[in-house]
Amino acid sequence: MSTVLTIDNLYKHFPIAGSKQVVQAINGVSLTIEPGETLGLVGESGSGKTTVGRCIVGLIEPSAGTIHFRDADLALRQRHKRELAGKIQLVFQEPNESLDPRRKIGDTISEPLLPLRLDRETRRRRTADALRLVRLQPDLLDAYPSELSSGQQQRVGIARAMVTEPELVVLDEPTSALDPTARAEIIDLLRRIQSERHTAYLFISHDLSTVRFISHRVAVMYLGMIVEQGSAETVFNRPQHPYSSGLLSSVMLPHPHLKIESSVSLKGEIPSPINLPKGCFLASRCPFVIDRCRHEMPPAETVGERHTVHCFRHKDVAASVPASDTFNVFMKEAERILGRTVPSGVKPSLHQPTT
Amino acid sequence: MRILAYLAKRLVFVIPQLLGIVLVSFLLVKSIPGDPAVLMLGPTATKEAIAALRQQLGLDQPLYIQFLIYVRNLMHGDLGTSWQTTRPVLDDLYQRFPATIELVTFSLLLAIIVGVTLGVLAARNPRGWIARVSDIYGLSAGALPDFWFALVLIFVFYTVLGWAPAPLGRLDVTIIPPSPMTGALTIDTLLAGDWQGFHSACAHLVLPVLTLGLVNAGPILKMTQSTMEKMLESDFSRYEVLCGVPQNLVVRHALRNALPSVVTIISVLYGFLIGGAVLVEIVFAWGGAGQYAVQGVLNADIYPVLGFVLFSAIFSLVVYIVVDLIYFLLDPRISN
Repeated sequence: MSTVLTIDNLYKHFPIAGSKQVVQAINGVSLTIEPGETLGLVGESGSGKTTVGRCIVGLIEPSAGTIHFRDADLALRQRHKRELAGKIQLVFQEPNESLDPRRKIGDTISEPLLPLRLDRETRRRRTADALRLVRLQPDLLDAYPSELSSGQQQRVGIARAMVTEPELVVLDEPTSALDPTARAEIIDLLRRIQSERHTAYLFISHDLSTVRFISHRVAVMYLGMIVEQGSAETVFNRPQHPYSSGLLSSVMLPHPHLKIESSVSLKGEIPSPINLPKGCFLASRCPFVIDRCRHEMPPAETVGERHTVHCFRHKDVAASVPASDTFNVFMKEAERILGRTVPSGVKPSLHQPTT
Repeated sequence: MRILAYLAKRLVFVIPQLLGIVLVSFLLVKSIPGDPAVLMLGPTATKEAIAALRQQLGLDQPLYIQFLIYVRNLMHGDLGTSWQTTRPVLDDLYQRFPATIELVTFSLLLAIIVGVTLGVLAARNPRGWIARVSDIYGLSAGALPDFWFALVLIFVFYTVLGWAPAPLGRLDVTIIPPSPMTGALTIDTLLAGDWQGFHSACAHLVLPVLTLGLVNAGPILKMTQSTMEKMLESDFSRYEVLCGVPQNLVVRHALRNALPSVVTIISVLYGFLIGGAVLVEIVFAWGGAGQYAVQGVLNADIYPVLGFVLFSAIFSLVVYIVVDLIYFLLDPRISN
């Protein structure tokens, strides 16, 4: 199967009203997603993650660069309307605001099927299937969103996205508005759906532990650029960009024994996306900074299989921190708890991770 | 069934609400300076005559006794007598209130048609020319005094063009008014099969309805536009757009979510206009209830004022109950 999504050198600049300046929201993003794969897109708020997602689904027109879904150029979305219909779906951050409060759940879920011109019986069947897929009771078809908990509402949002049997779902922080229990259930659900339907996900989040848990690959964004991109395991265990390293050190894993060691601490503030510095955007904050960083944008360097880094000194960064398997331990532990292989009554215990 | 229980619950509160309104308005009207006895008898009256009249009117009694007497009379359907018209207030209001309601209702219908249509069209395309026209219209409608606008309309359509009938009441003087059934002349003439009368009543309505309708379309337009814009910006509308749902359907769904706010502003305007239309009533010599109440206030004629307040209060309460029932139909969250 061919690559589901290919983004090549994407730019998005928003004009500022009454000024010639622009907000440089995305600055040359390139990424690919394979069928059945989850790409986690992480970064601080304001790093442009959501803008990338919105460009893919078509809520925002990119300023430059191309997005291909399979072989279709999404800039010509209108021309490919029929074949694209329902193939790319979106799940919003706020489950409450993404559902029409005056429509029944059943109508909301079946709505994306309307442009597909299916007959009534097929629509009804697909809606019921989608509801079953997200494990909601069939009697909720006649309920209104306000009667549901936010976890249930987000399940409706996922059912609505899955009803068209998409090949790619953009998940824009789908769990950040939920409490931890509901969050774990949604993540579990998304993983199960992916293994059943082989759907590709773009999982946008700033919650790194969740991203580690669900993603096959991760892309770390900083000021509209992907500074490092690679398999989740390599990036989390041995980050090669100072920003990824610093970002990962800020993660709090939900267990006192799980600590992340990092010597990279970033100083100062994020530069304004209106006047971006000339060289590397991180130069003013980076402990590894050399003179070259201030004049020249580091190019993408391939450091492993589908693993790229934008840093002149990535080797030094990688060497500065011992490889850690903390995230692996966390993954195993989380799988074990979610897998519910533990007999009830037995408390799961954690061992001190070996470093 | 649920709707009936809800209605019953609402109606239980109507009586205490009305009592409260009567009490407050009674105290307020009584605190207006001016002695009706002095005004009734004129400047040449003797002190004794004034005192005698005061006693006859019950004005020498303490305030709370006066109030109790008023409420007792209310129970018997006696709203007092106006000393200006020397007729029972109830009869006067039966005649004048429908005139005002007819005027206000038609004006509001025009305002809704203009306001909601423009508001939806403006929100559909916030950068289009309709949006710009709506912005200017909303501003100027808020700034225009309605009586001035009425005078301009009279000047253009009566004085200059001669299309409209003279702004002197609700019917041509040559036409015999139909026997009052509802009090609304358009309906009464229709019921009587009097086509000439119907035509005259409609012709007399055109300018005052244009005045009030176009001026009051402003707030409805603004409310519709801003809520519709918010709804169309919301995630659920955006989702529909990117799924390829036709724009008309997206707008219809957004409008359903925007309607409660629009209905609220309409209901507030309806109650407000009963008294708020008074300047326009005066310009067109409409003979409505607002005009009657203002005359009462100016001449310390308190029973017409109290009667007007009571009628308006009942009218507003009915409007609000109807609005609540409309919410019930519009919003599944309330009905559940």
